[in-house]
Amino acid sequence: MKVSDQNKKKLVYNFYITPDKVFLFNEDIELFPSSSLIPHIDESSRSFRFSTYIEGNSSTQSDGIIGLLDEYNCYFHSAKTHWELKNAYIKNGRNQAAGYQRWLNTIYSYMTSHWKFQYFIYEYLQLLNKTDQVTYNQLIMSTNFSTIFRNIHYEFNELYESYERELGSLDKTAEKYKVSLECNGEWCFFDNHGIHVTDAERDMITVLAISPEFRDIRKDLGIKY
Amino acid sequence: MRLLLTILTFTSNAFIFSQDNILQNQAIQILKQESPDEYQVLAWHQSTPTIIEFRGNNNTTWKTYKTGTIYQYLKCNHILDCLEDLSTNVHELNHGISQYRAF
Repeated sequence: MKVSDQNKKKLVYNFYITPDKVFLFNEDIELFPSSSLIPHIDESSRSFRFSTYIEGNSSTQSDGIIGLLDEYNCYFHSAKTHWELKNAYIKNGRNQAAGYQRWLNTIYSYMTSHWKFQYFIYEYLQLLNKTDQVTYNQLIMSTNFSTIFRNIHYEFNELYESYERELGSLDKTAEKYKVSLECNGEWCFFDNHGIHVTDAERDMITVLAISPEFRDIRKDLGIKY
Repeated sequence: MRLLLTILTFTSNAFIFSQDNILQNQAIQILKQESPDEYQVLAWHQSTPTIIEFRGNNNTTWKTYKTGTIYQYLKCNHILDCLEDLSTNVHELNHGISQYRAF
């Protein structure tokens, strides 16, 4: 279905990712609201962030996938801010171990956003490709959407891998602070205080984001896996 | 439609910290030291004009307003709570940057 120029809307967004990665998205384009994704979102992924960004009334409705991209970028900034405050948490905690535990536990939901917004964006592109190939091609081929997505994805992925390494060395950190560590499924108890390490929804969303169903979308975006 | 845009009027905030927000200012100083790239978001918000008015080339005038302050999402009474709020603060102010820094 070809979209007439009359239905197009001017979308202008400035994407600040890092000081040397700042991009302007400035296009006349017609994009459906993210609520159109509701029937397509997997039942297992309808709690975390779903009500706000797929059902809710935000820029993800008025600006569709560009609103989702903006949220993905803003959650990257939330995660990066929190990540870089590690030393401040350790210094200002009740003791160093308590500060560390609070820091690592609090970052959990920000890190889950990396997978959640990838999945929402892939679902959106999948639906756009099925229903309006002209706009899909415009977005992928004629705008810097893919470049912006790829750069946010790269930066967030780097951060996520650092987070995974941090979780992987929890035993050494417990040793360093001379505290107990016991891990049991979704939680590790660091000096008897919980650190959320995973849950069923994150496991599922990770699988969905890298599933073969989105292979062509990821290829169009230049994402490798 | 090409819009490029003339800033007609603006008012600017100086980057002056409020004296009523001691813990909040402490947290912001920690952010500046530990995470300068993210502190940049707050600095941009502070230096952005409160009102930006511009005209497209079809003579339509648009006006956009900066909302909130750098303290808006720092509702905290302990330094650890303030550090925690910084992530929300940077997130929300970055939405503003996405919008008005485009112009």
